Amino acid sequence: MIGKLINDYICTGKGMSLKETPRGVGDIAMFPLTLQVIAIVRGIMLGGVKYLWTDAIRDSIFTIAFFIIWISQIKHPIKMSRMYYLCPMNADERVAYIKNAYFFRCIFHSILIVTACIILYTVFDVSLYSLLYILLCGLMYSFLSNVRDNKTDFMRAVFLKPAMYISSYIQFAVPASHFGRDEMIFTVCSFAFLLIVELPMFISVIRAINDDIRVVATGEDYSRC
Amino acid sequence: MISFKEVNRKLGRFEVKAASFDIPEGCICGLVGRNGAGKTTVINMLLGLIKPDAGQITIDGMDYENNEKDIRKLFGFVLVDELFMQHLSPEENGDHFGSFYEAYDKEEYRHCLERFNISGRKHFKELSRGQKLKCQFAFALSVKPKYLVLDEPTANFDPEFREDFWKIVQQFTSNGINSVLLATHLTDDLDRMADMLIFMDEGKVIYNGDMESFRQRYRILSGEKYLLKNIAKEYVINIEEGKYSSKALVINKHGFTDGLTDSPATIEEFMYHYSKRGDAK
Repeated sequence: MIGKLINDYICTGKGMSLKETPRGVGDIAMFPLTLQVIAIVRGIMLGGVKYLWTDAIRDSIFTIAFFIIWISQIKHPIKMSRMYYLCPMNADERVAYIKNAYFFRCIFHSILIVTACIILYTVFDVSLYSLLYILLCGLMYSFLSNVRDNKTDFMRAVFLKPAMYISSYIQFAVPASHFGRDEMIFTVCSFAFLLIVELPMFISVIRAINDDIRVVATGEDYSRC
Repeated sequence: MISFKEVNRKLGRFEVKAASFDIPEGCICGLVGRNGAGKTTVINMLLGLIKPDAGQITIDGMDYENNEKDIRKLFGFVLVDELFMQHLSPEENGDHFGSFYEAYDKEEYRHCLERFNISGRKHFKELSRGQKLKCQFAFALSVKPKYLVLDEPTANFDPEFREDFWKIVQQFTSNGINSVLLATHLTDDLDRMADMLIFMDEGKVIYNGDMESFRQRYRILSGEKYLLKNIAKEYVINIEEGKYSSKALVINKHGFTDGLTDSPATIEEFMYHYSKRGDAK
């Protein structure tokens, strides 16, 4: 089963150009825009603070992990190639297969995030609360996928990703000393943002992903052609 | 037995209308018609890729609603689309998709690839169109299906392989249980090999039945124009007037062949005259 899922992951990724993916080009364009926002945020919050090479390495590790997941989500939408519909499976088995493939991707993404968090925590100066925030946010981020039909949820997924990326970045990019006695307020605000804004959007997107899995598994796509 | 009863399916402006036919066990059935006649739609419905709007499709008494998995085990297929993963080799593709089939025979698949001169280790995307179809044909055989559904594969086969292909198809059906449904434009081969014919035009099944009945029913008469024009119109599908002699496709009825040369219509002649028909019956 794992072998099948690995084959599936590699082949669908290689075989799909970004132009073919649903709204893939628009989604990928969000990444440089997000980096732009981060540069502005950094400028506003840390204007005058020297940007060291260690900061560059730390930011790169974090950014690369998020970027790989970003691309992976675009290149692996909830989709099945035509051959799977012809193989002897019923709709329930196809649901199970698509879910396994989806969870396989999510676990791969989560491993990347956890690895990045471990490096950030052990090598760089990141507080425990910040680490917890990045981990929670990163794990939620790992479970996102491009939503197909529901435009509202698609937009949520598109904007949730930069939001999660930027809010996680701020956690470690802004040194604790910068806030002084306000560090607790910053932490509370961060977690409030996570719970009030990001989590409800995340739940909504996950529901849409679940609907997509059902639609794809029943082959309603082909019936609509 | 494969059975279509009054099957309708609308796709945009195109519609398959009340398609009814049976494909019995142990036969080679040709599915012919012009481009856009509805052949691929029928094949897609047969393979459960699209659902009919109305009517009933049963395969050995089972339908997709209740027995999808069991039905899919019965089919091997070669479709116009490239079904295999482009970045895997034919061998890897076979093993990957074969794992969904209980009856998949890895050795048989490799043997077929060898027989068809396909490198099992090249990436699928590096193969030519004909080689890709051969791969899918090899896979279709290796899952030990009862029914082979082939959507226009022969046009991309080289003449040498085409002979081999027909041998394999005949061998496949020789047990009297397995059947083949073959959509093709190469009707010469079908004339020689097919036991049954389904002819479609504009989404309708115009003819379905065995080849013997087809040959008896549709006749080509050639001779003097005035003799052909004397034939009652309800029997004439089309008359093609030539400088010295004329030809007509007629629905065979005894009694009007005096002075005319009578021969059974080939599928190609039938398709040609049918497409040129005026007041078709």
